[in-house]
Parts: sequence; structure tokens; C-alpha cells
Amino acid sequence: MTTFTGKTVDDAIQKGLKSLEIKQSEAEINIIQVNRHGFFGIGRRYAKVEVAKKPESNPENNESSKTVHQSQENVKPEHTEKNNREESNQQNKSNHHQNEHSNYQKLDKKTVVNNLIDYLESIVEQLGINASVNIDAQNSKHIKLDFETDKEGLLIGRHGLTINALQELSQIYLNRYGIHHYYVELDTANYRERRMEVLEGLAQRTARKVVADGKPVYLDPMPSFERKKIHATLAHSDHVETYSAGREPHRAVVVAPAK
Amino acid sequence: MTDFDKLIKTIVKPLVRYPNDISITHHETDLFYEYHLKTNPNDTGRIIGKGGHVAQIIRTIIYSVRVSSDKRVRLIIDDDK
Repeated sequence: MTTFTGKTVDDAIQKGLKSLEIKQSEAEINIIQVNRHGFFGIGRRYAKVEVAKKPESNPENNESSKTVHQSQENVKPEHTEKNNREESNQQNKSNHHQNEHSNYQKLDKKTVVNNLIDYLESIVEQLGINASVNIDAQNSKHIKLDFETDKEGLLIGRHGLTINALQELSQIYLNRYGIHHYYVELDTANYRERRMEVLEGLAQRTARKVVADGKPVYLDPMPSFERKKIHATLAHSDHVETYSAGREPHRAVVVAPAK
Repeated sequence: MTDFDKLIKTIVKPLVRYPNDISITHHETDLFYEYHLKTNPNDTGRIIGKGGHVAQIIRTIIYSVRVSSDKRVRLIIDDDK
């Protein structure tokens, strides 16, 4: 089977038929993906179909109508699939309540946090980093965990890539065990504080550049808490204004001259 | 070399409902060490996350391991679609 893409399902099918030099009646068509328009082209998806020659095509008249019918049926696999999935989900859910629930039961916050620490330690250990995790600060909405290690560079990653990923993973872990509205922060060797100083310097330098050039400057993409620092640093400036543009995870601060 | 099977399992296991249904297969291509992760169909969405958010995080962590070879590691989540 060969795959073809087109703006619409029909387009894709026609393309396939043309390139294989067969008629629709001789073809076996399988729609993989239905096209979607998107919003101003955002989220646009092209249609994808598989076209192949039928093993033995009977030159009967109703054959062509059959194929068309088949293709129309195939247009809606998403719906049926979804329904099936929902059904099976419900079944599984009810099963869960009876037996496998031990894996999914609601634990109290303290236990989950302790499990989270074990989880992080075992991940980090397999990354080849010897580290121990300690609770640095904690209140009802926020917890700060500190890694004690001699390989902090490896743990932090480029511009905090790895430690930020671990932080988001921790957040997902907590949500998975039913702990919501509880913010995790990971730190090592005072990295967050040092990073905040770097960001403040970056904000000041960028502001000067923007005032000098009179043109807006896009900074590199950053996670939300780092963008917040830039916004906060320049909030009281009379000469520049800041806003964020783009979508996560590529959202970036823009520093622009004040109007 | 780091045991990627174990690493992937360590990360993924606590996040899924059916930890026993996780399977990882390993292929080596010209450019990559490919790890194919397969979970229970009910868990696949959980591992991928909204817009691939969770998948991206897992990949970031896995790719942070240094591999002493010119090949790179790649994590592929199989979803039978």
C-alpha cells in the first residue's frame, strides 16, 4: 500500500489513483487521516489515504459504488473508535474499582511526596548522577526539593533543560496521584537563585539595547517562571514594555520600546 | 552504556495504570538507537500527554544521557495507529 496526502480526502484519493494509473473501481482505499482546516491554518492537517490495486478487480458495475461507499464509511473511523474507546474505558474503570485499584488509590500528600523523592532519586541515579533529594521548603501550596550532588552541571542541563524537565515530570507525577494545586520546584546548588540573577542582568541589557535601537527584541524561549522574572524586572521601566509571544514550550518574552 | 530500558521503565511505570503492560523493544539503525515503548492502549494517551507534553518531557530526560557513540538515542511511543 502506498500513502498519499492531499488537502481533502478526495484530493488524496485522486492523487493516489493517478499515480498508480488505476480507476477508483479497481482500487482499495483506506483512509488514514481526515483533513482538518484548522484556524487560520494553525492545526491544519492534510488528508492521508492508502491506495492499492485490488488483488482481482471485478469489472462489475456495483463495484465502483461499493468502493465509494467503503471510502465514505472509512471517513468516520474517528467517531466509532472514540466510542469504542470510551466504552472500554468505562469497562476498565469499573474493573479498576474492584481489583487493580491498589495502584490508583488516593494517597495522602506526605506519602506521595516521599514516593516522588524516591522516584526522582531512582531516575537521577540511572542518569549516572549520584544525588540525594531533600525537602528544602514546604507549605500548603508549594514544595521545594533540593538535589545534593557533585554533578550539578549534568543534572541542570543546558539552560536548565534537564532539571526543568524533571520538575515538570514531578508535577505530572503529583497530578497522577491526585495531588492538585501543589507546585513543585527543583533546585540544586542554588541554581534557581543564580539563574534569577542571570535573568535580571539579561533583562537590563536587553532593555538598554531596545532603547538604543528602538526595535523590539525577542528573547529565547523560557519556562513561565523565568519569563515572570523578566517581566517583573522591567515592569517599572518607563522606556520599555514587555509581553510574551508564542505558544508553550516556545513562548518567549518580547521587550519592546514603550509607546 | 546506560541501561535505557531500565531508565524508561523507571520513568514511565509510576505514571501508568497498567505497569505490567509496558514493553520496550530495541532496534539499532544507521543513525539511532531506537527504543520503542508500548503501553496498554488506555495508558498511551497519558504517556503522550496533551499536545505531546509528557512525551516531550520524557524524551528530554532520556536524551540528556551522554552516549559515547556517534549514534543518538531515540524514544518512539508505539500506539498502533
